[in-house]
Amino acid sequence: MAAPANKLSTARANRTAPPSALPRQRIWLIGLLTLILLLAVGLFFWRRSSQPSAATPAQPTTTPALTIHRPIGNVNACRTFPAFVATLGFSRTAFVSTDARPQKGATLIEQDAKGNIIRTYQHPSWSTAGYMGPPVVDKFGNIFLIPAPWINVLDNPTIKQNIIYKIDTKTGIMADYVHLPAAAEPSTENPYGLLGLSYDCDTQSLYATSVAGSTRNKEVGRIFQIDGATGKVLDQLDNIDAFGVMGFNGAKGKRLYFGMARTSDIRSILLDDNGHFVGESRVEFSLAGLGAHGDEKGQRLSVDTDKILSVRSLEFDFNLIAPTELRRTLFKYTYNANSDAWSLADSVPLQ
Amino acid sequence: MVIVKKPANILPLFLLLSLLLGACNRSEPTATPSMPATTIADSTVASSPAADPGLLIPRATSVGPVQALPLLAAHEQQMRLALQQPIPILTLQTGLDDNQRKAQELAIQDPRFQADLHDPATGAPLRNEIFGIYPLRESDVISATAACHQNQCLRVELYNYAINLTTLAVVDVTKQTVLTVVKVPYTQPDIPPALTQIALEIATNAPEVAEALGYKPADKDAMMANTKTALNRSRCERSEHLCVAPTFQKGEWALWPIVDLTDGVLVGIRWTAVGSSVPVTEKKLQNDVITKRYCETTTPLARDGWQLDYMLTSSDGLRISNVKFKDKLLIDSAKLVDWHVSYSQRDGFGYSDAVGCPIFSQAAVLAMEPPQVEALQEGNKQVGFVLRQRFFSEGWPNPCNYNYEQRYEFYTDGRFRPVVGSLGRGCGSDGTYRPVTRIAFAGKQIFAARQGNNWQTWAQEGWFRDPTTAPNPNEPPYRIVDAQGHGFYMQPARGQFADGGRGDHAFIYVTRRHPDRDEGDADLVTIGPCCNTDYHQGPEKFIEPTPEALTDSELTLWYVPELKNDGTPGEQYCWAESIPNNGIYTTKTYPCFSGPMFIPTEK
Repeated sequence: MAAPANKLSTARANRTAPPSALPRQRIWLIGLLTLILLLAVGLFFWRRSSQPSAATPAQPTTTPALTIHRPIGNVNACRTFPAFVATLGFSRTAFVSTDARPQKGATLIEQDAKGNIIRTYQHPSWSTAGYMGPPVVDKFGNIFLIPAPWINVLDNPTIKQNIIYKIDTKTGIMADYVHLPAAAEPSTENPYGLLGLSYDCDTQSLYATSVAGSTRNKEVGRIFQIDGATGKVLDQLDNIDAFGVMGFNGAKGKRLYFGMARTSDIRSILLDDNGHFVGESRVEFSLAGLGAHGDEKGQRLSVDTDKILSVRSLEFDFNLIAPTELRRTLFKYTYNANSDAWSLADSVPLQ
Repeated sequence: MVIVKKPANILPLFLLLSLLLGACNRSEPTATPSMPATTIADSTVASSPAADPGLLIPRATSVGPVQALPLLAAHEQQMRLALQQPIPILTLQTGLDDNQRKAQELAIQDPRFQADLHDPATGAPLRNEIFGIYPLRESDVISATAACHQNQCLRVELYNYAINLTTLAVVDVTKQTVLTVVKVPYTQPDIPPALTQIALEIATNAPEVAEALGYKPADKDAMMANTKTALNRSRCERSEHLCVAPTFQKGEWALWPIVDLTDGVLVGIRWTAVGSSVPVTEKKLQNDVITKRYCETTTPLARDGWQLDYMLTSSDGLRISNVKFKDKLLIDSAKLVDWHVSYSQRDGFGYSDAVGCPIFSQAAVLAMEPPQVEALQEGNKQVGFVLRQRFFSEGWPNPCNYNYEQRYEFYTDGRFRPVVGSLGRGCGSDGTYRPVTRIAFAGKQIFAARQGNNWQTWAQEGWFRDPTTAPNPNEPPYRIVDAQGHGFYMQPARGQFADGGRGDHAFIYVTRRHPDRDEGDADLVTIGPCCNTDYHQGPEKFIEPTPEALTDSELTLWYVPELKNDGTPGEQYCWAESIPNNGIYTTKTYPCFSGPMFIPTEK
């Protein structure tokens, strides 16, 4: 803003300058031409500013801090066992599942050594938000969940699809954690809101992807960085429909990886020391042409301790096709630290 | 003087302010890096002629008689002969050296290689063809094929058309042994030259291709300048058929005819910009054509004295509106709101499916074909026309996949019947389908039920269940008419319509329409759960807790039949089965159609 302020000062100074000696008609002509020229320039910049382009990244106000060098690997190893599970008498092999369809919400499940379910538990609050996506656990054992419409929106009304829920590690009670802002009102074209969620132990941040408000012709989704302790939105990327999301500490810094919801691309964006987004995202690789359909999207991303990136793909076209009808593929990628890039190692059809 | 000079003095400031405003706006501080707001990324719809979504060609009307396509006919004859062999594999016969012949023979004799040649249930032979025999590349050698470092090895590639499976055998020709056999589901090997020629034959003889190009192309015209190949990669990911796309360049544009080599037909055509990296596939073509032509656009239709508009909705199926017969407006709109499917052997298990547009919709079962307008026959006599739409799951008729048909039948004598049916298959043979149809009649109406020779007018909103007793065609049980008595009698389906239907036993609801309150005129989200067995199917929400008076008002009629499926051989109903037929799987359907007939009160 400093430069424009200087220009304004100049303009003010001109107002006190003596009248020009040029004939009045020539002054008017020059003024008119200048007016047209400057209006055109002003309009050009105004239009560019109102239509952000990938080629002209918006600049952060401050220089991002990129000083911390972390070991290469995943960023969610700090997650701990929820405290409330022990108070319920479940063993430490128990886990919270959201896949026990048609059971709504989350369910605590304990299995025997053979994988048989021996007991389950569901607090009444756990089913109040309809069907949900996979749970994400933080370093304190809190469980975070996002809604996930299943076949219809009877239990998942569109106006409640941008809420992150939290099961408190101590009480075991689920409650709204944060209502994330959508760029546009929901419509019948898009029953979805939040699609992806992950936790970063280093910055104690949650990352959530949302397509709330997006339509066939308008991509207005967002990726949020959320304070894992307070629920405050710390940063966000706009106008991007993304699906699965995952943090990873690479050879050249911390990055957030995410599958795109409209294309088969897997992209990533640099994160600073505080987990804020830096610069523009880049394409890491694409699932296009792979898998059962060739247009599957990256639904779930995770990295194991061997630095193998697993991408579970899903046919996704912003409709409510029953999951039983979908074919999925599990892709495995290996990390090359020298090139800070991933290579496809294997793919397995999932039924 | 002051007045004259003032503009001249203000102008520079104004100009600079204009510039500053633009610049300020541009440099507005933000801590949130931003992606551009975009429409669906697709270079194929950038500008004309690619702005056109393409053309879907009904498979039943491909390129004409097979006799006109000698290569295709010869290949089908070869395949028929192969299916009669003990090992039903169409082998490669031409262009092979001795080692390739030896490798092919060794592979097809290997029991592992033969594992999927027949239908496991019936033993019927399936269509299998050797597509290629190639030297094993050094990079392909794994521990199981380590001998190939020293010996000559070939890879034999087999394609199974019926189950869309590639089987790969690595043959050590030196030792005359098959080292490995690997199955790769849902994939196709590179096709052999003979199939390339057949694909070209189908494409170059298709009238749709000639019409799009403006001339009948020759084989040599199918050449992408940038790829130096006649075929582009394509997919038929929904039908799981073997598909390729011979591509014809015209200026800056390329025409992609998608050729289905499993059925030997043209699936559709689409223009793209030359060099587009987005392949045209069956699914993409279907989604784009249906979305552009039927989800974003209303189509008018006039035929046999009827006039109407139709459009695919997000979740209410195919919606018709402004329905007139002989210029009289009769129906404001009709649509299919929900499909409720419950399974009796598992309490509370089922689905509440919406049907509608294939992308960006709340539909669980999708329109993958365009609406069809067909002649309506009674015997050999044409009595009107049908507007038909099917919605189905990609995996149908496999278990837990669905196929729903919606039909609007318009008769030349003024009768009208909204029909919905299930073509199976569902998650079991204990299923009950309860589709919810909504009909909004035009103008103020009176609904009445027959009581002997009299009509009992409904004074307020309500519901009832149509009995299962045999219908009397001369005494329709219900009528919906205007104050002058003009309108329709309603004859619910009780098995009398010769369409295989076994009776609807329908819940029928009549509600008051409100000009200032939307109770379903706009797209409705799912209004009822899967598994209620009583009248709680959704429409009661617009009645309870306090039914409104129906007098002097426009009416909405909701019709919810109850259709129990059956998978018992010989008794199949709401059912579908996959059966091997000439080496591939075809679907045999046992639909259960439902829906009331509306008969004009005036002859």
